[in-house]
Amino acid sequence: MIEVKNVSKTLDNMDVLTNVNFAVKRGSIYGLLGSNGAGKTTLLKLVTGILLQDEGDILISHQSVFENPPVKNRIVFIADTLYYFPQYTVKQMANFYRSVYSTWDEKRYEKLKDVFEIDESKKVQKFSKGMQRQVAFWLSFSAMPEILVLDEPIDGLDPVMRRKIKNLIVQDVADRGMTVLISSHNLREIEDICDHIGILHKGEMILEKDLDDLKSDIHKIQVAFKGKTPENLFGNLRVLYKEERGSVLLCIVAGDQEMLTEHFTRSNPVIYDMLPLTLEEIFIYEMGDAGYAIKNILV
Amino acid sequence: MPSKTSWFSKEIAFQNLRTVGWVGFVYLAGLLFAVPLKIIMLATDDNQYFVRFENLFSFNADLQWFLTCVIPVLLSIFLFRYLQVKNASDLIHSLPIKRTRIFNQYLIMGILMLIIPVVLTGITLLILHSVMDVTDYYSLKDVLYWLLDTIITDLLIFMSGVLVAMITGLSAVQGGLTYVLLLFPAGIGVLISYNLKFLLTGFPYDYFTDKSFDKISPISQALNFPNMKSPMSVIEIIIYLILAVVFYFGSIMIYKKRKLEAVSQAIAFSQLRPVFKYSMTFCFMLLGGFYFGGFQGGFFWIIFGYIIGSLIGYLIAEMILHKTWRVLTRLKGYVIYAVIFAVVFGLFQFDITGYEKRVPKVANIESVYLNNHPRGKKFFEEPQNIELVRNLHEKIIGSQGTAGKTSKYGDPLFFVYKLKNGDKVMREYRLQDKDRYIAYLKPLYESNEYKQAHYKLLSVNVDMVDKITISTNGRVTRSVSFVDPKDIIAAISNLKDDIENETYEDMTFEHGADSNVEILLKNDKRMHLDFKPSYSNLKKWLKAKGQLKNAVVNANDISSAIVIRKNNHSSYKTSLTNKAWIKKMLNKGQALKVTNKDKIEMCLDNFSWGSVKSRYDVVFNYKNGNMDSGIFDGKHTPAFVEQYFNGK
Repeated sequence: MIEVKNVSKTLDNMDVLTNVNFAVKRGSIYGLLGSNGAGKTTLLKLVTGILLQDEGDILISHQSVFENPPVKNRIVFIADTLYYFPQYTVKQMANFYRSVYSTWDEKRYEKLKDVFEIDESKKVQKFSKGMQRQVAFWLSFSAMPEILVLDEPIDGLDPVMRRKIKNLIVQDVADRGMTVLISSHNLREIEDICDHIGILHKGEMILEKDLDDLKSDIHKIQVAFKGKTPENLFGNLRVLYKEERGSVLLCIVAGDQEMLTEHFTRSNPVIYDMLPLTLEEIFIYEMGDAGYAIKNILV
Repeated sequence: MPSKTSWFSKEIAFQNLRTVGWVGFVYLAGLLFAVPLKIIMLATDDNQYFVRFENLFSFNADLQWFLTCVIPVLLSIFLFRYLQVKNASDLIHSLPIKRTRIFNQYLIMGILMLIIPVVLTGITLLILHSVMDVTDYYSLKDVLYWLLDTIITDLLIFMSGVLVAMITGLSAVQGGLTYVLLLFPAGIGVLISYNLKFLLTGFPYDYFTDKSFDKISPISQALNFPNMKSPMSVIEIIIYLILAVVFYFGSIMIYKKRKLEAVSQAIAFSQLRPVFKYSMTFCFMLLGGFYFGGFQGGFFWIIFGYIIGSLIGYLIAEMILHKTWRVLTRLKGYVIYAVIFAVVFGLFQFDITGYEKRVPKVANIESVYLNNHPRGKKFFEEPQNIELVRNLHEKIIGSQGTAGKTSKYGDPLFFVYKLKNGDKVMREYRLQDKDRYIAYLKPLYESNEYKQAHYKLLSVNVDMVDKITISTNGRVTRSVSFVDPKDIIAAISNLKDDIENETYEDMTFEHGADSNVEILLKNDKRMHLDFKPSYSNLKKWLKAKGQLKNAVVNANDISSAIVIRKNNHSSYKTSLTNKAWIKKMLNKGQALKVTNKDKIEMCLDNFSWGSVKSRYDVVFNYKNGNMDSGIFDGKHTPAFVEQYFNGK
């Protein structure tokens, strides 16, 4: 659905994005993680056709998005800082969106009125930040986009509203195969709804993963042996991290759970434990040195 | 859904109307107030003196000019504000609408917001014309002209604002740069020609400014509307329209290329930033030269002006571009600029193109103009006069030092050569010491060709003259008139003789209190000329008729003349007619009181009203109590004055 190929972008003589590649399949929710200044917003603005990349291609269903209204008609973008026309009420904004997006669904709009419980005859700019964000979701969901692009969307929403909006997103993805690209500087905020994660660091995509694969693929293991630890214990295994605490060896290893258990028990350890791993631990170990650099963004 | 893909969206139109509709309303209110209301007020006021209004621009002219200059720019700023505000820019450009479509729709709304108020005011004027008697103030044709010219000028100014909106990312810079763009052609023309005056000896600066750079800027041109019979010519209208169309396509082209991340950058295109920076530097350099050269003069001050001006321009540009005060560390570009321009000035000094030394060859010259102002129409055509002018020109070129270039004083002299190939060569000089060129000027001024060209009287047939009136010019008012054909024939023939005998020295002597000769022709046209002290034939004839005393101020009007010797040519701290001061000067022996009638007559014939450096001032005490003062220039100091003071 969304293909980003070898995209680079320079802003004001600074390389903001360097050779970024990633793809989002139809009906999936892709989380774009990165600290401030990593280039998330720029990347989203490229995907939504606001900015034009210096190099590379951005394709939506194999079509270029920049200055291409039929493609843009299928995308709705909610920016991190929202803009509403001065003096406009929710109703007037809705009229505007209706005139612009051919996919606008009036019934959906009416239905969502009950979800958000916002007075549509009030001026949007007078609302609080959180209310304005709800209006943005209201309008965006009513436009029935095939692709919803959200830049730091959860900020400023209370927990109840977060839940509601996440539910709405998931529901649209399930019901009509909507594709979602969502950015955040906080993994925990979005890990419950994303099925894919990409980490952008200093303009480069340093990691892209299917979250389910990730969780089942990396394991923390504690082993202890009588006497010396056998040589060549790990064999061909991919070891992300290891540490010896006395006679106990703590390691993080990639691989299938059963395969790993079989591998280690073959050496007859005195202790063998497979421990649960949090998502952020996985990221940090997975990424090695770069992982420590971005540790802060994963909390 | 065809309505979605049509280029005009009702909702966008509403949105425009909600955000910039007020500009249209302000414009309408302003126009209604400025024109129809003013006319109603005038038409209903019985005590109003009749004032002639050239056209509809003459009513509240200042307000109309202000509206024309401000409203379109304001509109372009508010309309395209979405380009300069990051959030708005992101929202608008994330929508499934092409930039050209947004642009066209916004533009059309803007144009409507300009045209509708003008048209509504026009309709009001038409209604007014049919229900009230306003024929004194305007005709239906005036309304048409007013509509056309206002709309065309508005459109061009608006399109300039739109074009600039595409280039910049800040609304404030948009406003500023729009006016720079609009005034640039006229301003840079004046500045360049003024500065070339400093750099090139002989550059005809006054000729260019007299041709008026006003016309090439809509803002300065609009200022002239109220005084013009038909404000805009067809050609001007066509040029304005072409420019507006060019700006339109230019704007679209630039908009398509515009990178939206340039929001809130002073100049949205990085390629244009150096252009902006060095244009500012250049313009301010010229401005510095203009200011210090014009008000102070002198080589040092002009160079000082260039350096200070360019530096200020450069720093301002850097401040705008980087949006910070701290630009003093970015002077590398300025140093490069300064070096390049130092070389350019060097080239001017060495006169690489030979501009300063160029005098057309005799064989190429068709005719030549020479005078102390650039507006005359009479050209020398006789070969010996052309030769004389050429020789004079070469002599001036040969003797002008660098000091001559930068002088703002001195007698102006204009040369205009019309060449046989249709070209013109124009030069202007300020001569410090005109007497040095007397050998060339004298035969030219005394030539028949010159006198025929400058004294219309010489070509007037006596039969055409109805009446001659000679009136005094001074602190007494008298006149004498002649209507008898015999008198007229005699007077004219004497006057013609006097003119033909007039020498260069007489012509250039700016005598004070010349009587005025007015000649009324049968076709009701009038001619005026000065009755100079050198016109002896006329004087003799008047004396014989016993009318001389009525035609000129003479010794009988004066009780005494006081001649005061100046110290070191310094000016006084008091007025010359301060009686107490005169008394003091007399007591000190610094002044001479003249009561002898012949000597007073001599003083009257030789004093001038100039402010030329002189050694003597003269004050006349009239018998009627008036006072008058003047000077004696070097050549016209009466002998008895020199004798008296030299004897001391």
